[in-house]
Amino acid sequence: MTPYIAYNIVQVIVVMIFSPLISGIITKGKERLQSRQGPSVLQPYRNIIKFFAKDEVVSETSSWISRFTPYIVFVTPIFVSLLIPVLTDYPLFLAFMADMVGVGFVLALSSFFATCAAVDGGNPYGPIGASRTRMVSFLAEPVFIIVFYTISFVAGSTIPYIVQQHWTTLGAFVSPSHILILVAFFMLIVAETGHLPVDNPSGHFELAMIDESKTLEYSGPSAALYLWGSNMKLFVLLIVFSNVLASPWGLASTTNLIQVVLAIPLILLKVIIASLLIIAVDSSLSKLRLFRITEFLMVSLSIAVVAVVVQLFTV
Amino acid sequence: MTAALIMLIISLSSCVITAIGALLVRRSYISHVLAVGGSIISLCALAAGWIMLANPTLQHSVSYLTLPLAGHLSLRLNRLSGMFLIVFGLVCLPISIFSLRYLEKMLKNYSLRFYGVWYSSLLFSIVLILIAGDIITFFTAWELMSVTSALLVAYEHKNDKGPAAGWLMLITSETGALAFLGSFILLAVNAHTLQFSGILAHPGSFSPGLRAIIFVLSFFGFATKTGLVPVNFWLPRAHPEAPGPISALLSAFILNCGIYGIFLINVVLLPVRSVWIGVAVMTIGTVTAILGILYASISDDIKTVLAHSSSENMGLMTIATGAGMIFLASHAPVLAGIGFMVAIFQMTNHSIYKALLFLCAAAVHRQTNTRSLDKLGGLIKAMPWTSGTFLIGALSISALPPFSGFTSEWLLIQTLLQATTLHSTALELACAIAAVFVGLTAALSITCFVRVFSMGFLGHPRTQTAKNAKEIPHSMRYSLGLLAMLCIGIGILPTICIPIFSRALSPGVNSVAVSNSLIPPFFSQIGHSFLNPNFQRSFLNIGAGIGQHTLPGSSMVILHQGGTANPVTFATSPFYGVFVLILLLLLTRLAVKIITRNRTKLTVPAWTGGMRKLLPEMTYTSTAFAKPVNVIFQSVIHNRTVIEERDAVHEHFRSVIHRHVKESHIIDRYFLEPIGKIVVSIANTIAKLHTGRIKHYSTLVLFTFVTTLIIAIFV
Amino acid sequence: MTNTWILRGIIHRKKTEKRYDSDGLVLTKGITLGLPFVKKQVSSENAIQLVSICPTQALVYENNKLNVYPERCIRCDRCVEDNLSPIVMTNDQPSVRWSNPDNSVLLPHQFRRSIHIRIVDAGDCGGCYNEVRQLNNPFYNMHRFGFFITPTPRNADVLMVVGSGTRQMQYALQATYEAMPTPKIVIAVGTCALSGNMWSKSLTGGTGIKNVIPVDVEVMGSPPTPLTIIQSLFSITGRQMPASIISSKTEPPEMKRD
Repeated sequence: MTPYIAYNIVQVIVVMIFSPLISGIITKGKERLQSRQGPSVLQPYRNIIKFFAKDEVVSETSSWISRFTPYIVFVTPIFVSLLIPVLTDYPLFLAFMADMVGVGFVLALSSFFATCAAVDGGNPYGPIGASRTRMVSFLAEPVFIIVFYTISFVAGSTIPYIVQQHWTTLGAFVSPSHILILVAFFMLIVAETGHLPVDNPSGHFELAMIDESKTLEYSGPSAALYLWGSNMKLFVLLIVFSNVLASPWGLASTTNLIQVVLAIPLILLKVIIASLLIIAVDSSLSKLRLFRITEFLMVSLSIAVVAVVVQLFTV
Repeated sequence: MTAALIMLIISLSSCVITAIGALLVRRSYISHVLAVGGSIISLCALAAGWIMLANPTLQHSVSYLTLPLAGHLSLRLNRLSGMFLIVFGLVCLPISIFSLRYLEKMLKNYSLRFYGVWYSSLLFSIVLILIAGDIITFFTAWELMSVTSALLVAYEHKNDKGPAAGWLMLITSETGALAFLGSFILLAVNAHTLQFSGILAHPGSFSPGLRAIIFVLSFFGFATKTGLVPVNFWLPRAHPEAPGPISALLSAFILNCGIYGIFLINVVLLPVRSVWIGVAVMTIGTVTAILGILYASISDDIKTVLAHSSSENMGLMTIATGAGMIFLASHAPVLAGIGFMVAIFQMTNHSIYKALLFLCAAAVHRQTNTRSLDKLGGLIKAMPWTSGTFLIGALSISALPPFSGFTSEWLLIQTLLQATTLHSTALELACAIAAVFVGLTAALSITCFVRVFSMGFLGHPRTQTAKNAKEIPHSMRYSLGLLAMLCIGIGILPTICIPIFSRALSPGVNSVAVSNSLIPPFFSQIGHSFLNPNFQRSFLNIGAGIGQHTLPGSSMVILHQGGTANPVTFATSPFYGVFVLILLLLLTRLAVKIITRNRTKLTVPAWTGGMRKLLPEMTYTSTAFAKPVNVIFQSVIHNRTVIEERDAVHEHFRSVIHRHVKESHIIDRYFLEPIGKIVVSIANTIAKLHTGRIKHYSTLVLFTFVTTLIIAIFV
Repeated sequence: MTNTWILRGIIHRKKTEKRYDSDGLVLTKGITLGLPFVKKQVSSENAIQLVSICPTQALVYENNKLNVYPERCIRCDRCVEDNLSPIVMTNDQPSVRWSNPDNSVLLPHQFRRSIHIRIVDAGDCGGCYNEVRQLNNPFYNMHRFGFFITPTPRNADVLMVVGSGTRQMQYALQATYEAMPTPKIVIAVGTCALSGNMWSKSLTGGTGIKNVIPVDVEVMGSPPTPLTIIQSLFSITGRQMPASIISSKTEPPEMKRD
């Protein structure tokens, strides 16, 4: 039992430590493709440390909702990282707390508070971003469900560990529905974490923001928590994408410590490859008009539906 | 059972006493009588329901009156009605406490005397519906409920909308009652008895065709009360117009009476045998859910939002019921049990959080005199108690962990995902589509309640009344607090509640000889013989075993066992979840506190982009917040037709264009208005008989007389 | 998705200037057009003559001495057109300096490689703002030093102001300054922000932002080059210390209004 608990904590620490690195790599890669030198890959760490060193300014209209939200935004990805296979391919101590559908609801909890806090701050741009984020979220939710449906169909379960076990066979891996699910899920990650073509993470114009305008009112430690939390959310989603769906290999399969430690560079490599995909998408697409985002997510939905139909008729 | 009967008799007689008391006491004490009476009624109902649910015998009939032609009239006490009585008690108690101070506001304009009489008659009729043992009692109680609830909706008759809403509600309710009366007559004629227990004893006497007719009639009838598409047009019109506690009672419990009826006919009396009935029910539920939440997302009136969202929740329950019927008909009893259990679970949750939200809305209306979200805002500072409880209600209705809506909605999605075990492509596809819409509904309901909470309670106050609002009196706060506690309690401890819910329907599903494993194996039965011992051991190792015996109930994990390839199909544990979440939050708080111990915190005005003054009119409103929903679902909602009128202005002979925006609900457009047109055209055709000449009339009279005679002779 | 941008990005080499390494300025000279410097004193007639050509009162004749205040200079070069002019444009003195050299506070060490900048355009002609916009183009790319532009003052450590602080922008400027959490530093960029430039004479033009918010760092030039602005950011983190930061300075006399 002790290794199960210990590895669960290790898993959390890995997510916490390496998540800013992935954001750094994405920024660096994007700037490199624009012929710039770009910030160091360690820049997100420096930003987080700096925000913790800064004083805080809160707005008069804000209530306890605003003060509480950075914590819930920070904690939910950690909570999710307890449930998914980050380093090991066997369930760890707290893996029973929720399955993949539950993970979706837990992430929705942080989104609920983030959206409320955007209005709570009294910033006139907050509600705009809040309304738009909700739009992206409710369009993304059906795709999530249908991806889960296909997964549940193929693997017979929505527990990420069991799903991950299923794809390890080559026959299941190259099946058409699996490939389609990968595409649909990747489009979801792009939409949920505010990357192009849905949202421009490096834009500075308040009226064009979707995700970022919710954080305009945060300063100091709250901003640090928020930043770190959203980095972790991206990392966790990429882990789900790479470890559960895209490449279910390279995880530790025994409780041997060396194996678990060796799994860390392997999963980092996988996540970096996935983030290269994000860099490619970010650099080659332009931002969609607000109400054209519907079309992007409907394409994702259609792909997922085709995956279900293919699966229904292949069995 | 005797104890339950005594409790019920106390409950029913206190209804009568409360009504008499309301007629006799001084005007200013009527609200006290109602609060005390309502509390006694609900507490007795709660106790009776608990006894009935805990009782090992399946059911118990007591005949109380013998009519010359119809035979015995009886009361029927079983677990299903026990479950509904518990929900009724849980909801009615806070509503009664709440109305104590709320009614003061009405006292200025209206006499509360008849309000008291109608209110206690309504409670009487609800209790009677739930324990009716025969068709006559059931129908009489149902009629009493329809009439009194319509009277209560129309009680604030000085508003122009109230009486119209009451009428509309009465008319639809009566249409529905006629429809299910037809199905009851068919049941009674074929089983040769008026007793439900008698009908239950003759399952063989119904042919598939007859079953289908009974299903259609009864489902239509109860759907009008439940608020399912296409007969839910009355719901968003009537519920917001009722006085605060009444709209809470209507949404939180009276809609459930329709669900009770659906369960009574389709699960208990005549269990469904055809898959297609299940698919039809699921389809209706899906359409109801999605339409309900779409309209809720764009409405401005806070009570209209809640009424639409009641419709949505009823849709979710209907989806669960439909899924249960599909599984029942395709011989998957365990999954059917889960389906029906989810419906009951969702119903209980909905009753509690909807009562909470409606009472909060009533509190806001009482303090600010407006229900329009565009005119509210910033109430969290002025009304912290109301806002806090509203937040808990909003989190619950948005199905977010660890609040009460989560487990039921999660189980609903999981149940639909389990359709993959059925070996029929069409059914799998139907369930997949339903699951997609449930997902969309869940996400839209988060959007909707984020909007209501943030626009109503957060940010800048948009009017002076919202700025000057005061917190509600203590008795109202306690009732809100009670409901909020229930939301959190059910959310954290679903493993204790789920066996109770699954117990409620056990006689019904047993009657088709399902299996004795009616409590589905995933209900926390770690250590139960259903589970593969190897799996149990491995799962116990990874933490599920912790706290196994520390709290009542078997364990704190909900899990569903799969086949050999996948030992667990799905699992969740809100209890551990909330524990871990709070632990993580505290650790983070501690760490941040240590890191930032030298930092200062300064309160400054909100950052407005350097604007000199942010006027309330310049801030985002709830209508603006809902704009994306409005635009994306324009083809469905399309709620406004713009009529332009040109008008000449005498100066300079210019013309102006007046734009009138007419709003119409999709049900009105595609169901109500065509029916209205047909009725009017029939009436117009018949009206041609009115020629105004006396000889034509006398010919008609003669013709009718002769026809009647001929019929009388030959039939 | 398969367009050529990714390929182009991979094929094209980095276009970023190499004049800085990651730790500071390698080459401080030659990054500006130069600032005016009084080479030798001249007779009073000549001095008054020179003062009268200067449109922004950067040349002042006081105490029988011709003084030049580079923070007012817009490099119109009218004073140096004559070869015999006592004024030369030189790169010897850096164009970044502390507004209050005796009381200069650097940002703490956590800010060394991470600064978020809020830019406020307090009524500039577009020149300085254009230079500020160049800060993150592929050539200058200040992101590589950890300097970022942020849309909100709540995240900002540095308030960078361009423009003369016109009357209509004074409230906004103040609100932005107050909305920023401490530690915070204000950088006034360009002659307008320092002295009001030509518009200081007008009713609504504003005479620099010093009267509105406390300025910490002054960046001279009209407009200053992007490298100068980057240099100012280096200064406030302590990564690069230009000489002027230590050198003392004299306050110019009050602007004369028409």
